[in-house]
Amino acid sequence: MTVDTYPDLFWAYTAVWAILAIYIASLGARLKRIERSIGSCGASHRDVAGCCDSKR
Amino acid sequence: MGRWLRVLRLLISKEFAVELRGKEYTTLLFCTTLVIGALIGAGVSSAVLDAATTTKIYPMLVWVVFLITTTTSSARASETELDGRGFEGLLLAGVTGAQLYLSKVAVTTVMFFITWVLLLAVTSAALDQTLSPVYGTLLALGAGAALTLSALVVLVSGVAGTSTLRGVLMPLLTLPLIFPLFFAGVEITTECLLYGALTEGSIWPGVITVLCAAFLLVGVNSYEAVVKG
Amino acid sequence: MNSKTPTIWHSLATVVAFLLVACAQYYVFMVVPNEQVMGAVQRVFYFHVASALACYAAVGVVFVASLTYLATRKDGADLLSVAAGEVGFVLCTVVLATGMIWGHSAWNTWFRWEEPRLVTFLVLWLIFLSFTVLRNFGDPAKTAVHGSVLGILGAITVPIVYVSIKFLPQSARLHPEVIERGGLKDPSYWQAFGLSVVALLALSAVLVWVRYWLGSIEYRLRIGCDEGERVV
Repeated sequence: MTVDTYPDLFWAYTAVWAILAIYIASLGARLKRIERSIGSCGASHRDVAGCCDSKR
Repeated sequence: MGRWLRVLRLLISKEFAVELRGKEYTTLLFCTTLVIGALIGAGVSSAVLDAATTTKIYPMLVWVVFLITTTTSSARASETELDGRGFEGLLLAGVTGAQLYLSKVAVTTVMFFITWVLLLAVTSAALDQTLSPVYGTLLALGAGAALTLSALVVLVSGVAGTSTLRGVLMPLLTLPLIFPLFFAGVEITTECLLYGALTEGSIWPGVITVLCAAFLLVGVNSYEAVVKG
Repeated sequence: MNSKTPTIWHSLATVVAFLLVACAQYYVFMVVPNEQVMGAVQRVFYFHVASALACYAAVGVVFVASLTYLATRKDGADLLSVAAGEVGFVLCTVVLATGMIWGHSAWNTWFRWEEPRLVTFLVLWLIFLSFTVLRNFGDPAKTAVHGSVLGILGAITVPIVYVSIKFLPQSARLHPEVIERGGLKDPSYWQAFGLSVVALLALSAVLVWVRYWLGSIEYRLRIGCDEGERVV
């Protein structure tokens, strides 16, 4: 059994995972923003329908 | 219980009467079987395979044709009722989802079984296979497979019938779920053709039984929810 | 439906999950020794098996959530089933891809039909695919019920597929049975394996959470639209 290390692979994969982590964190922030906008325009049914249209 | 069975019998008679009057499903099922069976025969013939190789691949070909023709032809199995709100009328009249499901399974099983017999006749002639010594076992296998397949197909046709893809969705939803039936069917047919009988202690009839029981259990309990939404 | 999902908890969970993944990676690439026969390629095992376990967990969640939805008609259960189904589909793709990479190195072929676990995951992948297609193209008014029924059928079929392939005559047990045969002798192997499993389960949970959150927002918009259309 030989102990070999692969620092290049480690950093390459870390970069990929970091990008994925940033994407998921930003997705969470975007979802929170949308949740807030639903809350603000949810007062009137007409506005809520407008929100849906823009989402589509 | 007596009333329950009487209603079920009436529903089965109704299903048969509707099918015999329209003959759409039957025509589609049998014609597709004949066309694909003929295509397979022509394909194997053009590959110029020797007799032993043809016997080896025959079970797989028969099962591929059987599963594809039955699943693609069944896309419209529940369409009339779904479009004309026939299910809702029956359910309002006091018929249970389980009765509806079982009546459709009974009729579909008979149609699939006839398809199986037709398919064996067409492909054995096209590929020059002698099935007469094992015909009894193959018929029993066909009956089990037809019941298992119809237990799934009836349930899935209720799901696919109202989707935007309809006909395309039916095989896509059904085929991944019948891999165990495919494995069991091919293995039993191969055992019959190569050894002249089903091997003693074979696990495959058990696999079909378990799969059939599982599909029937889910179908009986969820068919009403599927058609009502 | 939860209207105020706390961003701070989501961010914290994301950071923890990815830190676990980074730690697992550090072990896999920097700590564990090379396996004697397979060499460096064996390192794919840690993410392959961990993804497979997380995928099985996703199947379990789909099954329980689908049953719950059919029994209670709570929309949350349906959203959870959708989220777990989609994440399970991704995990299943990872299992198949890493399995094929390993298989090409070990058997010199990308796929072997005699191999029960590989075929089981292919069938599982097809079931997840049909589940996802149904969710996108099904009857909008009935998708939740139909998806739940398909989820239950799929979850029931998977173990039958696994058992049936094991009984195929040519089945030669080619798949390495590392855990069953007491492999992973070096303690660092176990540490890397355990960490990978925990990391992938945590990451899957975060992904299911995000998808559930997204689904709940879509659901609220749809309900709002329906009410809006009725009033307008």
